[in-house]
Amino acid sequence: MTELHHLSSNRVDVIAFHVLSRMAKTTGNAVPVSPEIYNVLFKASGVGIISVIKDRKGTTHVIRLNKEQAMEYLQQSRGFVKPKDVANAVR
Amino acid sequence: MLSVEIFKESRQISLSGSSATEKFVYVVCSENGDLDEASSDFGEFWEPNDDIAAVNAVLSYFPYVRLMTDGAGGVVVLELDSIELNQISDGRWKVELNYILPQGQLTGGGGEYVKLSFSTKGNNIKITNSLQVMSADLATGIGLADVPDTGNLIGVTKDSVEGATVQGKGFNFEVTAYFESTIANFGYMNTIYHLSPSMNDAAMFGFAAGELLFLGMSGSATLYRRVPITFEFVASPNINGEADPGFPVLFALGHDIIDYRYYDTGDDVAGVLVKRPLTRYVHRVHPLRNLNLLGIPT
Repeated sequence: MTELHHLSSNRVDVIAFHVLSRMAKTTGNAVPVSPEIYNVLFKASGVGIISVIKDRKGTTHVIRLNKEQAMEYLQQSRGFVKPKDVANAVR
Repeated sequence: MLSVEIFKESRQISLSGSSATEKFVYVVCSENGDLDEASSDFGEFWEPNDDIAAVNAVLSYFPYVRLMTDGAGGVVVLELDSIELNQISDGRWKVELNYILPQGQLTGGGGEYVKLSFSTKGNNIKITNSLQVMSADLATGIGLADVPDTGNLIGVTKDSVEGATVQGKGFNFEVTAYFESTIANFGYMNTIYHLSPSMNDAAMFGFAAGELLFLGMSGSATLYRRVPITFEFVASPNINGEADPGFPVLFALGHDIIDYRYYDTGDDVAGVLVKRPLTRYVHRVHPLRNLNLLGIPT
């Protein structure tokens, strides 16, 4: 798998924003992410892995993360807040 | 725990100057052999003909965001646009997931999240009045009866009130919102240009009208990518009925300028001329504008 470690912080912000926005719209306590996104955003994050879906050859296709921890980690590590909370954050 | 097992996977990628799509095709079943009716999983989901359970499982188990190269060393983010399921045998399904560049999925402003950075480091400002004179002493041998009463004025000379440069209270913050690239057109940029700088004409981010000064925005947009645009603000509290000795109570918006003109008058006790405020002006130097036109999600 191609490593994407060269991405700029701004680009990672955009990716995190996409992932976070979609996470917020899902139900359930697990969120599935691709291995590429896991490596860019969550590697060494400490976010709990609920399950890993592999094929019969052992190749990982999907990593299911603890949704609450994943959202909290993205918000804190990338500095995201909900717009309605901006007032509380800055005052 | 129920899970899925992937038998096969194939991918199809389509890139052009204006779009990118990726299709993933999986053949899946439940873990531990769905075709075995003796399996504890059989019948729990992936039950034959259980369409709703199959769709829910796919939505639960497969990513809704993918990364794809932009062909120029960067990446674009693809979002799940559609799924297609075909039951190929009892409990075994062919799943097609189509990912596309997310265009037009947001209307108006940005998304549900923004990024915030702020600083309370103030700038140097010039003031002509202090909050309070803590002490005033007369040099010996001058011959004056008392210290001339200059009120709270700072830097009073024979001809003027020069004031002093001090560290002011400051509150600067930046809000970065993420937009569809289509928002970065000249019409929108023109709007931003005309709004920079201006004060908020209505409450925004919890600040009353007049307390925020929008300084400007910066961003770099590329077609077909969601782009971060950063908006810069300075906050300053409004003055609502503050006592100002010798004048009516003071009302001013946060970014108005308060200016005094002085006159000479005699201090009978000290026996010298001193400065006293003659007039007070509240200048509005920034217009009030509808900052909702910025399109920042609030």
